[in-house]
Amino acid sequence: MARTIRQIGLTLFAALARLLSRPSAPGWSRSTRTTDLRRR
Amino acid sequence: MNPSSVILGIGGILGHDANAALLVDGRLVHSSQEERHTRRKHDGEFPHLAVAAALRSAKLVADDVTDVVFAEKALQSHLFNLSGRPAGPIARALGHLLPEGFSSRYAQAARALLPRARFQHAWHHLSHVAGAFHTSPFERAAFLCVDGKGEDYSASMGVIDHGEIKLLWEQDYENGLGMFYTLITYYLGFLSFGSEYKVMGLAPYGTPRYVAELSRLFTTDERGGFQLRRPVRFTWESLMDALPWIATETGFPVRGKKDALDQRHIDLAASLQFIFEEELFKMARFLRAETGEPHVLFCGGCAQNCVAAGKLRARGIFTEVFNSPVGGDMGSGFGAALLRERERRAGHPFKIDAHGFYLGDEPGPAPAAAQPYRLPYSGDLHAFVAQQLAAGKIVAVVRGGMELGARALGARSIFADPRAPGMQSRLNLAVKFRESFRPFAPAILAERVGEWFDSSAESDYMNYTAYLRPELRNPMPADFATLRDRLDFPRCSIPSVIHVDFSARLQTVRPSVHPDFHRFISAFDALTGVPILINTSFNVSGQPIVRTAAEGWDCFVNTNIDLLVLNDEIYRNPFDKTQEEKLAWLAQFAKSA
Repeated sequence: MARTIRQIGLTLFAALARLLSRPSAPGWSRSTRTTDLRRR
Repeated sequence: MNPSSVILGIGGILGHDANAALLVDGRLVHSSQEERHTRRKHDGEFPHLAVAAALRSAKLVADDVTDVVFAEKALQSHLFNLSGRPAGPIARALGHLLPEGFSSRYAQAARALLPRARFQHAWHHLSHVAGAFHTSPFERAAFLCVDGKGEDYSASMGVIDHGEIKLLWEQDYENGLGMFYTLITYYLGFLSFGSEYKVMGLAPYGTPRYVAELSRLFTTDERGGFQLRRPVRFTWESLMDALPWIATETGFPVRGKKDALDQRHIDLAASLQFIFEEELFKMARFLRAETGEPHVLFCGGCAQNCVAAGKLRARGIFTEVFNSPVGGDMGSGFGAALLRERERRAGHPFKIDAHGFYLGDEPGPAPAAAQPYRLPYSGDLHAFVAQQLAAGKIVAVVRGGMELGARALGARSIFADPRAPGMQSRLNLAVKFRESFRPFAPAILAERVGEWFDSSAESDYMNYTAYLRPELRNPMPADFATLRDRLDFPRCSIPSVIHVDFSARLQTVRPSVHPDFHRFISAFDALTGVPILINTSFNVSGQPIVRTAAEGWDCFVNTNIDLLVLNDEIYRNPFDKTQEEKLAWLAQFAKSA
C-alpha cells in the first residue's frame, strides 16, 4: 500500500516537474541562467 | 579576534564526490573530500567529516560559519531528474519563491549543523569556473565547462573576470559529450564510477578505426553541438539499457568486466578519445570566435581528460589554456565558496593561494605497530630515499597536508625509479592491483622539463599531457601484435612513465608550489642525472587515497611497497601478511575498483 502511494506521489511530482520544464534545444543554445546565488 | 567572514563551500548534492572547503576572511584554510574520511570511494553523502575537519583546521566551531554555499542548485537538479527536461521560467522562479523549509536533504543536514549561517546555492558549472579562475594566472578569460551533468545541462561557456561572470551558451540536456564518454566506458567493461580515465589510458594502444560506427550514435555540428541520438539518462538502469544499442552499431558485444581486452576494445577506446578531442576542439573554436578572448579556462569533469587538455593547449585555438587543478567534482565546494567570496569583494580583484592544493589533514603520528620496523638513517631524509629509489625500491610517502582532488601530488604518493625495466607492470600488478596497461605519471623538476618533453609549460597538477622529445625515443617495431608486446618494449630510458605513443601525464614540480616533493626529485637527480620520479597515488585499486598515518601503514603492509616515509621517519615493510590475508584486505575495495 505504502509503495503504491509513494509511486502515485512520484508520478504526480514527475508530471508537475514536466509542466514546469521545457523541451531542450539540440546543440548549443543561448543561456538564460542568472548567476544569482540566492536562487535554489 | 573572530573572523568576519567564514565561508563553507559544500559539494556533492548531485550524488557523488561530496566535499567541503573553508575560506576564512578570504584565506583558503582547508578542503577535502568526504571519501578520504569515510573510506568509501566517491562518497556522495553529506560531508559531515570533511566539514568537521575544515572547522578543526581553522580552530573554529560551527557557530562561527557565516555563509554556506552549495555547489549545486538542488531544486533545479531534482526537477530535471524527475522530468528529464531543463527547467522552464516557473521552475526557475520557484528557486526564489519556495520557503526555506522546503529544502534538500543536504541543506537540511547543513542547517542542523550550522544554525547561524546564511545559505546560498551556486550553479554547478559556475563552481567549477570560479575554482579555475581564481587559481589561474588570468585576470579575464573565456571558460568552457563540460561534464556529465550539472543541474539540467551538460556543457556551458562564457566569460569571467573579477567583476562578473557571463554565461553565454549551454547544452541543456544530459546526453552530451560527457555521457558519451561514460557510456562507451561502461560498454568497454569499466563499470565503476569515474572509470573514464582508464579508457583514456587505453586509447594510445589503439587506432581510431571505429569513428564511423561511433558517429552513428550522436548528432553534432560545426560548433560541437553534441547530442546522443537516444535520451539516455545518468542512471545505472538507463546506461545499461543503452549498451545493446552500442553493440548494434559497433558489431561486437558488450565487454564484461572480467573479459580479456582485445584489439577491438582498444581501437574503440582510441576512436572514442579521437571523437572526444575533435568535438572539444570544435567547442573551443566556437568559444574563441564568440568571445574573442585569448585565454580559456577548461573545467568540469571532462577537463580531467588531460590528454585532450594537453592537445587543446598545443592546438593553439587559444593563446593560453588553463585546466582546472582539481578536476571533476572534488573541488566543487572550493569553487562554490569562491563565488560567495567574489560577492563579498564586490569586484575587487583577488587570487587564491591554494598551497599546492595540500589542503587536507596532516597524517598524525605513526601507529604503534609500525615502531618495530623503523629504519634508522643518517643524514638527509630526501637523499636517503633517493638512494633507495635508485636501488629499485618502491617508496610510499605520507607527509604534510593531504592533497585535494583525484591526484596524489607528493604528500600521499608512491614513488619509484622511472628507469627501472618492468616497473610499470611491477607497480600495477604487485602494488596497485590494477590493469597492467595503466601508465604512471612522471613528476619532473619544472626547471628541467624542456630537456625531456616537447613542452616547457606548467602542469603542476598532472593536468596536461606532453610528449617525449623525439631524440629520446626508441621507435616501436611496426609488427607488434599484442598489448603485452607494446607494453614491454623499451621505448626510451624512462619507459614506466612514457606511454606507447610517447605521451606522458606530467606533473611539473616547482619549489614554490610543492617544495618537499621538489627536494625528493632533486635528490634523485643528484644521484642519477634523471630529474624524474614515478608518482602514483598511495592506494590500491578501488580504495580512496590514504589520509592518515595509520591508513598509510595499513595499505603499506598489505602491498609489496618496500619502504614507507611517515612524517620524518622511514619504515620497512614487515612483509608478514599471507597472500590470503592480502586478498581478504583487497576484497573490501573490489566493488569500487
